[in-house]
Amino acid sequence: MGNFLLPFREGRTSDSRFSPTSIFVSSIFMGILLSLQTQLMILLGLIGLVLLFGTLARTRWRVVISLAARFEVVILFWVLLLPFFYGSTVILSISVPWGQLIAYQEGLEFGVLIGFRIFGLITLFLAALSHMSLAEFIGALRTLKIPTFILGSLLIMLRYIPLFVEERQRMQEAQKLRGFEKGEIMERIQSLGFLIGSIIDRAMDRSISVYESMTLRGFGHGMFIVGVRPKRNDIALILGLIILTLILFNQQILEVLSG
Amino acid sequence: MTCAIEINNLNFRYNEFSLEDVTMNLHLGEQKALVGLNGSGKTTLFKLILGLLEPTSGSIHVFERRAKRENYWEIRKDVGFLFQSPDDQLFAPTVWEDVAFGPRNLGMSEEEVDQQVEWSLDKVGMSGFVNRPVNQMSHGQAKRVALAGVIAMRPKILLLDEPFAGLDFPMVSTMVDIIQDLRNDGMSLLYTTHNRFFLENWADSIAVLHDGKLIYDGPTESALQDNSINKQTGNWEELGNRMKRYRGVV
Repeated sequence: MGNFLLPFREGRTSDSRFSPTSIFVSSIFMGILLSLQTQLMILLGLIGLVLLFGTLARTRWRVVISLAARFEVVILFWVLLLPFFYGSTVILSISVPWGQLIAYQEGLEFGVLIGFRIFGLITLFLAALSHMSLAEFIGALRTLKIPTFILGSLLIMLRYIPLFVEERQRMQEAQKLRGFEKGEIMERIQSLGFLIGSIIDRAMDRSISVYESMTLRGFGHGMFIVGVRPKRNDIALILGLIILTLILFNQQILEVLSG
Repeated sequence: MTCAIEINNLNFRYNEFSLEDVTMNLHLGEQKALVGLNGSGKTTLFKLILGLLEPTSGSIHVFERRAKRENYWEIRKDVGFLFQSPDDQLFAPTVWEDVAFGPRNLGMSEEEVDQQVEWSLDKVGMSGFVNRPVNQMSHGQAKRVALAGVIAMRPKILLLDEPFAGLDFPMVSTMVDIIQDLRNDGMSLLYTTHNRFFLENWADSIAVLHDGKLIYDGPTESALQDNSINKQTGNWEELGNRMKRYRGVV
């Protein structure tokens, strides 16, 4: 059997200094702060703060960064594509058979900003999740009053996505052993279609079995997920976020207060 | 003898498949094997007992309580079901969470849930795996944890779908001891198997399904002497001789 897709800690409890609920809420709050930033230097400063705080909290950066790296295509997509669609200051002009390809400075800056935002958000959430077990994460969501049926579905999804990934790998290996790699492009497309179809089919079968298993053990009759309690150290985390918000938005806050 | 499960003239039809006029009983404390070729309707019968499927006609009673929609939850408290594949059963993040799932749904306090989890993991010899993620166990370990999840609800009847499939000999031996221990606690048992060894040595009685029809329900000894029943369990001796002939040994 495979691993979970996200960098959760193993076991039931992670012995973190902060409660999983406060870690999760804080990361959402920090995520909002990251998303609101329009100045690259402040954004980089915030990412630096996340990295510094994460290092102090002994985040398993190797695991987190290796997972975050999977999103490099999404980040590069924005950085490389936006310069050609947005802006007015030309920084590059290339002649292509169908005309001129022009890159703009504003688009590049915007692309870099979005790229760093995505990187910051992904790193932040993965780092936060790496400090709690899956049970604690679900418990934190329960404390935040997320309905049980959503949590049940989330739990099953997190449990079974890796199994489907493994199944896909096994089926691809079986195809390779029967010469799939040597096929023509149309054959490859056809095989890929069969592969996706089979995985969906198996996923449906398995979801029915899991649901039956849960039903037999009383799913829907009781509260199978229990919330997690806050810890004293949570106050320090919340205070830190408030101070950070005051520093970042002091002018806007003063304007609102002075009417 | 008191009936734990009583099935009368049960009919079920779904597309091409059908169970026809099945009548059988599982007595209190009995250990019955349900035998039949693939697709003969064994798992379907289990699902009908548990209310996961509804019969077209006929009746099922569990401890004299009729299996119908309003009684399903009460029946499921009495009847535990071990799936053939533990992958279909284990879904929670850790062993503890998965075994605690049933007791929590029974409305037990956290203290009672803890006790139940400890008891059932101890029964299956998996006490040291409390914090283990469910996806990081061998097939045999996962099967034992899945069984712990079932018995944590303290059912009176156990339905086991191919309990020994895919297990190596030491694990089969362990599972036999675990199940015997549960039997000693008074549980009734209905299990499916293709393996003649578990019929000859382990079943008090045998029920044989063939193409959706119950063709035998009675003591093990007389079943094993009946040729028509041997067809369902497989003629392993003849297969063995044929294999030896292929190898040129005979």
